[in-house]
Formats: sequence, C-alpha cells, structure tokens
Amino acid sequence: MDSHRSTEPGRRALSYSLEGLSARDSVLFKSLVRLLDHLTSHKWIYRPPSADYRVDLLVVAEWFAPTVYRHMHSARQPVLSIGKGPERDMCLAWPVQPQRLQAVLNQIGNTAQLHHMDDRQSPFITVLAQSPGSGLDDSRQLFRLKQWPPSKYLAGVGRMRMATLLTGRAMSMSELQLRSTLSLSVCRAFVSDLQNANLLILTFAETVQPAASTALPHDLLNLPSSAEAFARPGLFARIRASLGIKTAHNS
Amino acid sequence: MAEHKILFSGTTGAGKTTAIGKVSEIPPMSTDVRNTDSGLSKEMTTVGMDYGEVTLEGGDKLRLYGTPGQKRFDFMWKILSKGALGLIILIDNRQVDPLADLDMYVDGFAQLIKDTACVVAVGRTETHPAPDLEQFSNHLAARGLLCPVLAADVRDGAQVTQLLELLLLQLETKAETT
Repeated sequence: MDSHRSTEPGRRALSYSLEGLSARDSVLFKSLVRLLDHLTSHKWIYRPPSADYRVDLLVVAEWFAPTVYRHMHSARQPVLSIGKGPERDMCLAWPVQPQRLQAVLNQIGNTAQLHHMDDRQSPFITVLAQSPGSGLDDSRQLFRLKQWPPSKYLAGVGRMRMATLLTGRAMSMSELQLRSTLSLSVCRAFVSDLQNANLLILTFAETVQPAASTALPHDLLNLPSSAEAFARPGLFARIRASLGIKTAHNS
Repeated sequence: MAEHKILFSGTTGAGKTTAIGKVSEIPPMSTDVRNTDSGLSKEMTTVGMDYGEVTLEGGDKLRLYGTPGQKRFDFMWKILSKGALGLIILIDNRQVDPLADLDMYVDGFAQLIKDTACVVAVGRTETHPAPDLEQFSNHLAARGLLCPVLAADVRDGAQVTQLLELLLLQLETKAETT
C-alpha cells in the first residue's frame, strides 16, 4: 500500500476506497472524511477502486451487489459496509453520522497500523496471479474499454450506455448490470462480443488473506449527529429528471 | 441557486444552435451575424455563443452554451470552458476534413476533456459516410482518448438528449474515481 507514509509527525496516512455508492454519495462520503481529518488519528486518503490497488479500508454499499464482496468479508481486508438498516459491527447506517465514522476510522486505523508494525512484509491484500478471462461472471473479473467500439457492437438495447460506462473505469459484470439496469444476459452478451473483438482491457480484482478481526465495540457506534447537512442533492439525477431521462442507476 | 453548464462545440454548421434549442426550455439566445465566409454554406453564423437553459429541481440552472465554431474565436472556448461539467463535440461530416476538425476541438478543449468528459457526435453521416465512426474512434484512440462516438441528427431532440445522457454517465463514473 503506497499510502503508508507519515504526512504529519506521528500521524500515519492510510488509504480507503469506495464501491457501490452513487456519485453523489461518494462525494458526500469523501467530503465527510476530509471534514473529519483534523479529528481522526490517521490521515485517510481516497484511492479509486482498481484491480491491483491495495487499500487499508474498503467501504462498500450494502445494496451494491453484496455477493461481489462476500469473499472479502471473511478476510483480512477491513470492509466497512454502508447500509440502510440498523447499525452493527462494521456497518454504518446511511447517511453516516460523522462522529460514528470518526470512531470507526480511528478503530480501523489503529488496527491497520498495528498490522503494519507487526507484519510489514505481508500486505492486507494479495493480488491473485491467476490469468484473467476465466469467466465473465467471476466477480473479480473487471472490464474496461480499450477504445470506442465499432457501430456493429453498439446496435441493440442499452449497448451504447454499457459502452459508455466501460469508458470511465473497470467494472465487474455485476456492477455493469446494476448500473446499466439491463439484464445479466444482455450485459454478458455485450461483454462477450467486445472480448471476442479484443476491445476490452481485462483486469483481475484482488482477493485476500485470512481474517483478522476489525470488529468495533458498540459504544463507538452510539454517537449522535447526521451527515445530511453535508449532502448535496444529486446533480446528475436532477439533470436527468429535467431532461426526461429515466434511468434507475442514479435514482 | 447553483449554476451548472455544459458546452456544445464543433464545426460551424454542425448544429450547435439547433441542438441547444432542442433541449432548452427557453428559446436559445444566439449571437449570430450574417455569414461573410464564402466557405460556409449558411446565411448566419455564431460569432459569440449560443445559450439555452434548463431549470433543475430546487431551482438550479443547467446552462447550455454553444461555442463559436471557427478557430479564430478559440479565445471564447477557454472562457466558456471555465467551470463546465463537460463537452459535446458536433462534427459536420460534409466538411473537407472532419478528422482534422475533430483534432482542432480536441486540442482546443484538451483541459476540459481531461478534467471532465466528452461525447463526439458526427452529423450528416447518411449523406457523407466517410470518414465512418470507426475512423473517428480509431483517431481518438491514437490520441489516447476514449469517449463515445456516435452519429447524431441534432434536429431530433431525443438524439440530443442521448448525447447528454452519455455525457452524464461518463461524468458519474469519472466522479467515482476522483
């Protein structure tokens, strides 16, 4: 993890990544972390999700294809879930309350720091050496466009939108399906066509090593306040609404 | 009340004014003058900018700006780029060298494209099929750019909306990686 450097005397920098939050919620979450920066024991730096990137904390929306990350929950990689139900260990309710997030970040940061002190040679996450392409539905397989496809690959429902989604960053099949709101078979056929035409960059997501507990005591999660004050209404959703564009992915 | 803007740029005659008029809730305001450029087959041309707007829920405004197409007005491109959400480039395939036209706008808006997102819409492909869309995407790929490239008839409001939707999709995924 390249973020483990001290940015201030006695204060270690740690990295986190977000998966499954909407663009608006991602901005909100990152803003919240920045606002809490002077209160947290560690400096938390956002890193975009990618196949070979290792972070100290993965923040995942529970409503975002939970099966994709199921393998991570039993692993050494700390995963903080953001859910809509009641709070529990390593799961905060959305919208996140700043004090609770502060407590969780400090707890996870302390654990991460201990791991790094004890085990500098052993990263939290190991990148699999497996070759990609073993299966389109493998949740660790990520796809991204090499270049914009010829028109013949874009004829059909939703194909233009799927191609556009794959220009921004690498996505798994589950995420592509979720964000395009198309059926899995439609997504699979599209990706398969692009793969056969050598138009995709394939990367392979990380897997992880055996677990180390990062559970938090409940008393750390019982603090008041709300992040709603920091929330900005979803700009893209409002633009879509005003233009009469109906999609589910930004609702 | 916050203000947001999206730019339409591209070849003179490609339909920037028309595109904005298709989605704007007010009649587009244009700074058109009589065309004295013998190379352009149109009576009026935009020398300042076009302007349209859409009111968003909560009272925010989405401002739609059309830039003048000619290179000699490129100082306006930088002014209009400031704070823009993204860019839609309209290419008129009837022109002599549409790929060179694309280069001009990609160069002129390089920073905006890098910071935000871009969609390339090619017009009049039904009567002028060359270069085809694949040549455009290959051309962009050779320049290290990846963005949607599609044929569009901006006289059709639904197609203009599609351009905006593709821009928004890119902006969303881009926002998640920054």
